[in-house]
Amino acid sequence: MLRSLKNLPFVFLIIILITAGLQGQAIVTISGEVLSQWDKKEIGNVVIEIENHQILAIIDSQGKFKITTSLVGNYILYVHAPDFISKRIPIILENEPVSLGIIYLERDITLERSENLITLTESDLSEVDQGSITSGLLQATKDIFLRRAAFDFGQAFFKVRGYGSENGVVLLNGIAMNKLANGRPQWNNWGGLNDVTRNQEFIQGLLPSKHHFGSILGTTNIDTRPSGFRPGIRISTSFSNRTYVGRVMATYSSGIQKNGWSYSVSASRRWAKQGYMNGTLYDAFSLFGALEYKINEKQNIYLTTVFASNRRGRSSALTQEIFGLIGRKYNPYWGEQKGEIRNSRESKVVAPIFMLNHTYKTNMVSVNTGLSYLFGANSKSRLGYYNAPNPDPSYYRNLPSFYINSPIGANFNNAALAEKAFLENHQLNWEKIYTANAKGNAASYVLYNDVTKDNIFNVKSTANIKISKMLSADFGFTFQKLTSANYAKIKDLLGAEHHLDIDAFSTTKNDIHGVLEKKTDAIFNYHYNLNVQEISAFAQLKFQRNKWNGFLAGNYANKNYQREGVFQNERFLENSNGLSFKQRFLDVSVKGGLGYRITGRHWLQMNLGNVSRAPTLQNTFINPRENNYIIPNLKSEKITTFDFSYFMRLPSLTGRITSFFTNFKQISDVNFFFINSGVGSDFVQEVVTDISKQHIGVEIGLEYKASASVNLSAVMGLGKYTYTNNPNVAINFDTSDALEEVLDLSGNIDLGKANINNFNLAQGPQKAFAFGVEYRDPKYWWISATTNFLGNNYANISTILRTKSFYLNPETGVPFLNATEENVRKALAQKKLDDFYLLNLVGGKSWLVNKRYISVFVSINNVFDAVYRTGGYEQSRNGNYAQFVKDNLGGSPSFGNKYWYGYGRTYFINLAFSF
Amino acid sequence: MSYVKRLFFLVTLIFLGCVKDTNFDKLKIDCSSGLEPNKTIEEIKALYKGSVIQIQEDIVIEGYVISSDKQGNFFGSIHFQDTHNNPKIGFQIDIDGTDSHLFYPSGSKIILKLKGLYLGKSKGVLKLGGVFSAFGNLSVGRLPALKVEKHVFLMCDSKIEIQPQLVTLKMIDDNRINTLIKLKEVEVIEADLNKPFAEEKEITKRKLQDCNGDRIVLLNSGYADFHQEAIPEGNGEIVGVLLKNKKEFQLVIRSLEDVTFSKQRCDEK
Repeated sequence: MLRSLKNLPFVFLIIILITAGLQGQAIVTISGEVLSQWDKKEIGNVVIEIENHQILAIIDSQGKFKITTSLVGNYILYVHAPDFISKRIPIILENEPVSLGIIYLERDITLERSENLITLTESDLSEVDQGSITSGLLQATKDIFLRRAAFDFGQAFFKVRGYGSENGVVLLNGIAMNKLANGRPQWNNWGGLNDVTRNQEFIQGLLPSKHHFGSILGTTNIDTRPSGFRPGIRISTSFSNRTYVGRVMATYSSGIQKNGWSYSVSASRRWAKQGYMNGTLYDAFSLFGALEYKINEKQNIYLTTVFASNRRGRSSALTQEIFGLIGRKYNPYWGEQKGEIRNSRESKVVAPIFMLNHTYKTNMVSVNTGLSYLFGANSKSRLGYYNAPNPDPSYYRNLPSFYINSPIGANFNNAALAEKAFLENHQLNWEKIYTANAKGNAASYVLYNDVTKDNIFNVKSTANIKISKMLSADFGFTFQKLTSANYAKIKDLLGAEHHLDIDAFSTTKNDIHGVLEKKTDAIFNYHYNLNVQEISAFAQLKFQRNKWNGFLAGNYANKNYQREGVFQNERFLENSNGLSFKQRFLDVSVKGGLGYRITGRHWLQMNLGNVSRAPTLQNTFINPRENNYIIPNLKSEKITTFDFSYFMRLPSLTGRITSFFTNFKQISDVNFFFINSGVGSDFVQEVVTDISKQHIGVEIGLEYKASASVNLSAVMGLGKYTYTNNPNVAINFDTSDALEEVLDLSGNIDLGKANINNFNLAQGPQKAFAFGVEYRDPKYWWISATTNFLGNNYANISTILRTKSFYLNPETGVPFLNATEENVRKALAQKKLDDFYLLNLVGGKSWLVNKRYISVFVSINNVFDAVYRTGGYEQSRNGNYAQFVKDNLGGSPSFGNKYWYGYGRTYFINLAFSF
Repeated sequence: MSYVKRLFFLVTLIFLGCVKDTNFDKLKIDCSSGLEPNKTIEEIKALYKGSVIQIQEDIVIEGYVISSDKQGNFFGSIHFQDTHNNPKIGFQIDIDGTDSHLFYPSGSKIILKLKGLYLGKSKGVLKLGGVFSAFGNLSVGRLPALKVEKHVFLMCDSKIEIQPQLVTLKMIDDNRINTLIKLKEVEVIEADLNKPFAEEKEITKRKLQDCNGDRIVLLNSGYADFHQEAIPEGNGEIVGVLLKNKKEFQLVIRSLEDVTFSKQRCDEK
């Protein structure tokens, strides 16, 4: 990995690492005792460290400590423990011993604040269009900028540095939990188990985690060891109007018993008939059990089982026209059936996890080994229609704009009728669906599930070795195997006898060897398996010295993907069933960082990374539902990133300023849509390859302790996230269409370059400011307000509209006369979303009653009920200039941008009892 | 540990909580629109006084569907007559949306609530529907799709076999417009022999004649499922809905089953 010139900085880093560690120092003793303010008793798991420099001691339950260090100068001693407010004590290290006396820690009554964050991740729809929020990853951060990013900007789908959540690694007891299909962490897998997933360690950006090589956004490790949980019972109940209306959670942890065993059980349920968005039901329950045995002083073994079932109704992005008619809560996916809300698009995730971990720990070496097995299904329901009208009430032909944009001239009278009809009648009409299905035998409408059934097996082992006082090293090895079955399954025939399993457009069979008439629970339409195998290993070296610290890490990954078609379909006789080519990726990544301490209170840190990673499954296979085709010449994604930070840790003022620069190269992307393009109309798979993107920006976070009880904070995030090249676009389609003329007999057309250089990425607001005030009353209540400004958010652009095909007249194949560069540029100018302000309030109070700890937490987000859009995307339907212009002429395009709307004023109340 | 017991009790209680599961019973189609016809088709047609009107009264009529867009030969209109047998009069409503046969199949009885609909004459034929204005003049157009279900209701007691009226070409007159008729002993004219029902994506006129030499236009859609099929060359029966465009009578079939040209042509007899 050190052969190429590109890696030269890392060579220098190694040299610095080695040369910087060659001097000796005097030794100073620090002593004291840590107790809880409330009951003057000892606290478990107190960490005493020199802030951001080195951990001096972890004191279990004895309270008193006496530690030695070779550091000299002004430092801040940082004392922290789970569930307690950390203390920062300025100290001067010279030759004399430092005696600190008793340090009292106060119980952190703002702990429930994390609940607020969890409700945010719970609103993460994991929909392809909406992107994903990164808030969940940041739960454990202490950094003020990241806290604002997670807790306050998160509701606006702000992404730290513009990175999607696939750029963060989430580990459960050291084992990576990112989904292979899209690379994103799956919060749903342990949703609702907040009590037992609270022990988290977050490592920001490229900084080294001892568990994993990590990624560019950061690494979070969730530790579910029962010995780490506070013994006792905790019950909490919540009310909200966000994704769910009610939640109960109960947890019991035994603590470490005399015989070496400890265990913990937890259960929760969350529900809503509908959440904030109309018709979005929520039905989730989770169970957790963990058992740990302390074999001896050095070894622990623990078993973790997680079972979480999460079912929810989905909602849709809206065009401006629909939003204007009904409003942000509108959701066309549901309708009433006998007085009950029935949502045609539900998603359900059930993915139990079994995990066995073993730890071996001495003063010098710590070895963690884990085995995990995750199996389960992710189902997403949809209403299919076959030789029947689209049941979606918001279908473009039902809307006023259909009459305004009519090819024979605007019809305002009928537009008014259509508007009236839509206002009266904008939910799914189940009765009409049953009426259609009651005729004849074959179903006109079928409610089905798109199912992904995964089996993931993981083995991993990491070793953390303390080589000397200055040097430590981490090594890790992972093997992962995934088999994933993907198919559509009939959920409800809605009164019909059977479903004819043929493609309605081309009248070809989907499953040649299967029966044609399929009944409830039958697999239809498509069926294939994906097999993934990955072996990876990482090694890193960490160095720490008086003025300098640094790290260097390398990762090697060998990953392969293979598709196996189960159905043979008539459209792709040759390669719909059987095994695909095995796509293999070999990736080497390196990263390093260097910190320089100007004084104990000011320091600098820079990090550099060169990451190579395999594209996700989604961006590898062109159309896995129908065939084995893989994107030709597919390459691994290359990420180069650099950041530079200045940290300030004064006794009452702390802060950070960071600038970052990241390049993504060789990115591929696959999309599906129906398009009326310049080369013809069809349902196509769009394959975009060799995309380059750039993220540059600045992050500033400042926190000022104005008094013992008042905290002020200000943060700013300014970024510029853009495409930096013109990638290639090709479209794929099947060639057996009965009605339409086939675009090209080969089944694909290379459309050449898409003109997207310098367009903005749709990665959330690129500009964000926040100012916060927090007051903590000595009588155990607190309140905090933040005002936030978010701006420079852009709708996602359609790549295909920016290819040469947009200029062509589909009738003649020659460019439209008025499709000049100038006119096209005007027509396709990127839409910026409106900037907006959000005010958020949170507060809480705690009581200690008969040794029972009771706490109340209240949060109100978006106090002024501002209407704002969190994201959006261009529809690709208007794929040629003339149609695009015509559709936009009346100001209310039928295929205009679709937008996601943020929640209005919402509340969350949590009541917790611990005893 | 009694807390634990209480806790589990609580948890169990909550777990039984109240979100509707994914299983819904099959919905029984409720076709009691609660509406009773209070006017006849004749009475409605009599409301027309030379210009398009929007009906403002609570008028309800009934009829039997005789057209079908299942095969795509009809599109954007439902044609219905007053009785399933020996109709006195027929009518049509122009609608937006595809596959209306799924909701109003041929042969079914429908109830129409006319308040809010437009009544007018286009190309010589009276019809109901939505509206459009061209150069300041209102004409009856297609009713927006979501409005259709507010005005046209399917009755359950139906799907009766509609008996087409057996007529000869000489008997065809305006009273039979929008009724289902059956012609006997007709055939495609010689000029249209061996031609498909319709040219791709074009509304195509073919001509039928009887052995007396009387003729009528057979109108076919270039989007019909059967448009590429050649019209059978023999002589025989044909069933269809009688339409009129200005002065020209036109016959439109629902599907190929409406055509049984299996006998010898007139000149071969």
